Amino acid sequence: MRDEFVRLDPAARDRIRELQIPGEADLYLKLTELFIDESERLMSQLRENLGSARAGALRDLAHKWKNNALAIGALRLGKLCQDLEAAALATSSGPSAPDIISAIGSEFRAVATLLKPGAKPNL
Amino acid sequence: MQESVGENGLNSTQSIRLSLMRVLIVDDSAFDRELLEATLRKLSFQNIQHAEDGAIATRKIQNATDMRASFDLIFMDAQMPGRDGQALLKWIRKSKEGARQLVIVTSGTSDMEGASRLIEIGVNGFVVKPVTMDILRQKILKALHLEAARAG
Repeated sequence: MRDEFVRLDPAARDRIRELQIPGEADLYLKLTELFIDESERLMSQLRENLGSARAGALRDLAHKWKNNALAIGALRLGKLCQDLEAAALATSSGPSAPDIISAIGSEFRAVATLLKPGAKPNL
Repeated sequence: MQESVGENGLNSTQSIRLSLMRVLIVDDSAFDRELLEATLRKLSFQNIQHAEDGAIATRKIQNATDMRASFDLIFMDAQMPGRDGQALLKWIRKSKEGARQLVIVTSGTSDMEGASRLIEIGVNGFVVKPVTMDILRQKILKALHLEAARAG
């Protein structure tokens, strides 16, 4: 079955490249570095809030990460963040937040490697 | 005769108008701020400042007004720690230059309840993240009533 949520959508990179102003610092590189930095911080905050059972905070963090992931083209990561947003709100069955956070961590490591070969995310 | 349109989808009248505007981006995500600034610069904006949260934004807006160089257009994230989009918009609308400043809220969700409240307070537009140049151009031109700007 075809996975509609690709790990790194080249169309997102192309959209960012279109914004590049000639002669200025590489925008895509700058954004990938910011994405990786913020993702590491969000991952750390997700883990902290998981323990405190603050569903609202968990949802907000997942929401923020989802937006960034979609902008950089990490569609599968964005989908996992969306799943976490839903899980944080839900009281019924479904994948649990700790499982999804674990999947988010794995997916982020893979995305970071693609975005910045040699990168070792600090998770 | 209709003016030719550049690669950013704007004619020269629109580009000049946007290039003269002072813009403030309020967002706690550095990634979002940089992406929005890059998109705005492609749309001809040149004078762009950032604020990481509502408190910093309040100071920058106040200082700019005191210096008689108030912002013309403010983009703010709906969801920020501390003073969020609603609280900041309320403060702006009560401030000295607040009635004339255009405010566009950026958000990752179509929160209808939150949007209704922002409309009540006086928001000029919404942009759903992740922002794209085409959508941003449409929203800005609409907020500025520049959609039909034509030469001649």
